[in-house]
Amino acid sequence: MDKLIQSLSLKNFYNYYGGFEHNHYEFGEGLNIIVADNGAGKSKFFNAILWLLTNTVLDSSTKKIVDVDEAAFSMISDKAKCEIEIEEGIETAVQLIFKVRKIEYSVTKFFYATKIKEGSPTDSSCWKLNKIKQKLERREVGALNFKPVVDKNEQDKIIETLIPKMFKKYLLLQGEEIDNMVDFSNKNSIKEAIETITNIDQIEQLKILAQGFYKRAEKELNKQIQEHSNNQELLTGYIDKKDSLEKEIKKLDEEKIAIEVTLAKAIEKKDAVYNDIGSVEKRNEFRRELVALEKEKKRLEANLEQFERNLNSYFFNESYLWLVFGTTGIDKTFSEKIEKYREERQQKIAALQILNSPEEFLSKYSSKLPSDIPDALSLSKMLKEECCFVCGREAQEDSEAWNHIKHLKGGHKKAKQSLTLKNDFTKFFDAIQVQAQVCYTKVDKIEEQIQEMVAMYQDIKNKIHKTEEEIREVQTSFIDYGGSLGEEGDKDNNLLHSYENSIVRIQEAEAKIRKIEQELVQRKQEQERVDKDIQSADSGKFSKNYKLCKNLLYDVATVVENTKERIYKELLEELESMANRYFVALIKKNNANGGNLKFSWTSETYDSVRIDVVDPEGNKISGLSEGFQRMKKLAVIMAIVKTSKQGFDHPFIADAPLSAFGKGFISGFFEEVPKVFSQSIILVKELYDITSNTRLTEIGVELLEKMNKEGTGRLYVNEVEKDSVQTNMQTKILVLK
Amino acid sequence: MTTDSLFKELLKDDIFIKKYGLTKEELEDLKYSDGHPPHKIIDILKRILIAQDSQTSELATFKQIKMLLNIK
Repeated sequence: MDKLIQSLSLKNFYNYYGGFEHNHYEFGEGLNIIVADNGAGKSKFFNAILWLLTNTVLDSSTKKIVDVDEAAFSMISDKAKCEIEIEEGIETAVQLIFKVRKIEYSVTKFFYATKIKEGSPTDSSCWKLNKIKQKLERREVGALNFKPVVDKNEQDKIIETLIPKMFKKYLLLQGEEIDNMVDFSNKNSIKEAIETITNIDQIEQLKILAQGFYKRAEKELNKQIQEHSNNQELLTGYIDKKDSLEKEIKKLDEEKIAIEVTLAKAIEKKDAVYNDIGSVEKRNEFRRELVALEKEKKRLEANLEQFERNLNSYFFNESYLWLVFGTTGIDKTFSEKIEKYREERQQKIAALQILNSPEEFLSKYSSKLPSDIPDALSLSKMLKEECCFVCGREAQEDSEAWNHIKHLKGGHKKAKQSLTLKNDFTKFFDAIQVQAQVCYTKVDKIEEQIQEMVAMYQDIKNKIHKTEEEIREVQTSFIDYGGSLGEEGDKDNNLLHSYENSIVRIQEAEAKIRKIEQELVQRKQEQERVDKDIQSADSGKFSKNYKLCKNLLYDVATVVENTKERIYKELLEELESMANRYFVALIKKNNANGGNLKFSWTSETYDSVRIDVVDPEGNKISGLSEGFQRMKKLAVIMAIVKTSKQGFDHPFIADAPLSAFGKGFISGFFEEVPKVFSQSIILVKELYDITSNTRLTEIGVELLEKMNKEGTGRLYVNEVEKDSVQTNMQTKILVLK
Repeated sequence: MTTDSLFKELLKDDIFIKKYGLTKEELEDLKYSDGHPPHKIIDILKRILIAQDSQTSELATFKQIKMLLNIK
């Protein structure tokens, strides 16, 4: 191959800490891969290439390409900065060795930074940076020493040969950039790509030139006719009319182009939001569902609250009387107790009646002694000892004397009892018993009622739970369709509004274009009539070659116009065929059908290209995954490169091109890229597996085996120590092949 | 696309055969660098291509075309 990157070395460049010898990559023909996890130096490697070839770097925080002078301080390794004392310096440099046919070139870009005071390694005021310098050397392949190329312009020209300016956009590919580069919604991006790679725009310039010559010839002819006419005044009128019509036609053409630009922008806008519209409608559907579900949840929660509030009333409401729950049988106990109360009361009444006749009592049991003498304790003692302490006589158990003492003792007790029989609760208890009867008819049903209520309560709770689950499911779907919880849908409404506006603008622009086209047809017909009038006024008194000149130049302009149409048509067909071939190859390991790419010019003037994805029947497909979208774009780039009429032999360097790809896509990518680019350097994290000994995924290992077998390319793994901080970050390079 | 390949593409137009009587073989054998084109239209076409290539002014090229057709 003509152009080949042989090596890249980095010195204290971002996290490539240390000298060139520690940060050195060698590359060969075919596929070269650098595998690295996030933060392990892929983008920094890509920035080294950008610095060497374009004097720019990609600012990772703003995602913008900036001039290298602006980014110089941040490019210096923080670890190196931390190790430097005041007034010491660090060199930051990148060096690329590449070959163009039989000459090897070494280009080095570098600068020095000196620490001028203590401070944070990220504080630029602590450092003084020298100007960035460039060194380029060359040697014949096989020669021992490089010789310097001093002239700066020559140096720049040499660097440009590796990847010419017009190809940089396609060959220095940074992940998401591919979306902007081949923007299917921006039809000019494809046209620009085609023209850049094929240099086909010269035919457009030729067309303008040929038309200019025809106009000159026509003007000269008309001048001759006028000069030799018998009725110059009339002819002047015709020519003025023709000039006036030409101006009108030109003005209408300009108006048409301006409206076509508006139309293209409106279509571009419509296409850009087209894929989102389906999601918007779906999101709105989810929003409506969420509103309905939230309403239902609130209703159920209100029901539950009301239910809980009502529970208290069941304890006292006559229909339920839950208060008596658990008192089954208490009515019987109550009746028994009332009965006992009545009996005891009767006995007490009887006892009282005895007390009410003391003479009878006293004649039988009392002595001459005062009341309560002997006392109850002494009487008990007498009974126990079978002796009367009053008279000193024996009183054997069950003897008359003993029984007399016993009666006296009982008399004390009864007398005391008669004192407590003050209130009669019989009626009160009877009333309770009567009133409680109604409760005892309910008590047996309470348990069943409570069970029913618990079931109802549980049912409401279940419904709330189910509604909450449904809400969560709808929310998940809503988020899956790009929705954001908490937003009111203004963004979606704007999107819909924007889509509708685009449709209106498209319709208005198309109507205007139709009107202008009708006017153009009228003016051109009028112009033809005036042309005939001019021709009829031809006296034939001047050289016929003026007419011949005009006719020949008209035919030349027509030939150029027709050729342009044909070339563009053929090129587009070739591109379409090639892009589809690559697309099929790239997605062959993926099960899903990604459709076919359909290229078409959007207007008769061949000013823009439209790419649609269609099914085998030609129906437009939308809503394909990001992986498919990326693959389509990559297929288009590969097709553009492959169909290049200028011969294409430049390295392809891609940083994170696979970020949206699945496993199937990744295999297809690594299989197809070497077929298009004779050298490619791919920076990728998708092949990295920290748990594997080789640090490679299954696909990575397969690729390594294939590369070993074929003997082409190189494979590196970049690593940084786990949890290392920025000021201690150092990329280590493992050489796997 | 080189000027030579563009010239070849332009000659594929059937107007040269149908209107100007050139044969397919004649057209296929023609080269951009050839000195004597077989027809004036080919000569004019080449002059316009040269004008584009060398960035000669339109006026100067038009004068050449007029001279080719014996127009003063």
